[in-house]
Amino acid sequence: MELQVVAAVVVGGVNIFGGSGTMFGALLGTVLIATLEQSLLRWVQISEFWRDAVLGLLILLAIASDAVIIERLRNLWARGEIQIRSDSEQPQVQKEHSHGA
Amino acid sequence: MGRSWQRLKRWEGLLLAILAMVVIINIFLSPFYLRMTNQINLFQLSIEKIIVALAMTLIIINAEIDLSVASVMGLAACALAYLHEQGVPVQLAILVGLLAGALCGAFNGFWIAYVRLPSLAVTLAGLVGYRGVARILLEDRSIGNFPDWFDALGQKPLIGPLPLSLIIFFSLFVIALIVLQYAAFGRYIYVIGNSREVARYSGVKVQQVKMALFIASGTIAALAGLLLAARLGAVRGNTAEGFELDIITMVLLGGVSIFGGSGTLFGVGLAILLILNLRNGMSLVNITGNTQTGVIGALLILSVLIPNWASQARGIWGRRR
Repeated sequence: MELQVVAAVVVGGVNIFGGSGTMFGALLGTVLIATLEQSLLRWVQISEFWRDAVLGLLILLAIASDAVIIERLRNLWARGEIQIRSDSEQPQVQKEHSHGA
Repeated sequence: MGRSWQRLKRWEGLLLAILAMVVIINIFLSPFYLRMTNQINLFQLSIEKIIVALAMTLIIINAEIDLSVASVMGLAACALAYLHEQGVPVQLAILVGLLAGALCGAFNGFWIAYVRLPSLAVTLAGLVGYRGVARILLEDRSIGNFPDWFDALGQKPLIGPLPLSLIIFFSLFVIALIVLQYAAFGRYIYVIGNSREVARYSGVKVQQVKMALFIASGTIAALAGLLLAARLGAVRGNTAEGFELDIITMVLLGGVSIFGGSGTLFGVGLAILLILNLRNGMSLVNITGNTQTGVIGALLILSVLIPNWASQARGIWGRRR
């Protein structure tokens, strides 16, 4: 259960290293996972035993897309195509990944 | 490094002192404690967890974490049971189970080492996902009826009084000790754990090391899962569920820093002995499992607090002089 909570928050777009994420995102992540569980239960063709596997894939998708988006933002920022205001949460994200591939 | 090394030596001394105390109390509490069967039983009841704890030690020192081990254990056991149910020979099923574990480890390692995603998140996905695959394989069935020789591997002594799992544990402990403390690969693990960037600029092949560690962790977890199947004689979709936190508890109690870069296998070995002896002693005097878990939780909290207090006390002492 404690790990499900973490999963919901991560799917909601909160950075696992800290420094970015919103309360609203975490709420959306929780709602998304709960909705998914419910809808998989109601979908007769898919046995309920598939639920965990689908959920695991979803979490991986969430964190992978998070990494891809941050990488693209970083590249745009490096080329000067986007500006980042100092009062937003983005600079911390930049620092976190400033050594990335 | 020097200071943290000193701290670790002190930490291991503390563990050794507590362990000695627990052993002495156990000897006085129960006349059965020192018997060979009890000593083997003491290991046997959580042998799978302590086998995986060895791999987890290397991973945590490397500043990563593997939350998916319990699910990989379950998946390997379920793959074995599923293949056995389909009429595949058990020898082949064992191989497939180990291979499945290595694949899971490689999958984790790929995302962590090459895509550079945080291991906490990746293996969390693995924790849910691999368990899901195990559930897909077995659904709500429980499969037993393995051949006698397979059950005997988990339940009966193999050489003298020692069962196979205990032999595997001791050999893996020696191998892990050599790799971590006396081989170049172990130095790489510590360096990467201290600073990934420093390691990279020093020419350490960070990605290969991390990949190798996660594949090893997956394979060892699968091996432990198969041993669990042999010991229990039956497998269900939720086999080994929730083991990951017990395993991480053992490693952290052993003085390994959760942020990586410090800790020794000696410490983890002492922590394993401490937890097992504590549980065994409490069982011998009829303390229930829930209370035992509570005591071990308190021990873990103290293990975080005591070094903190000690360093604060030293700080105050230092200022006065």
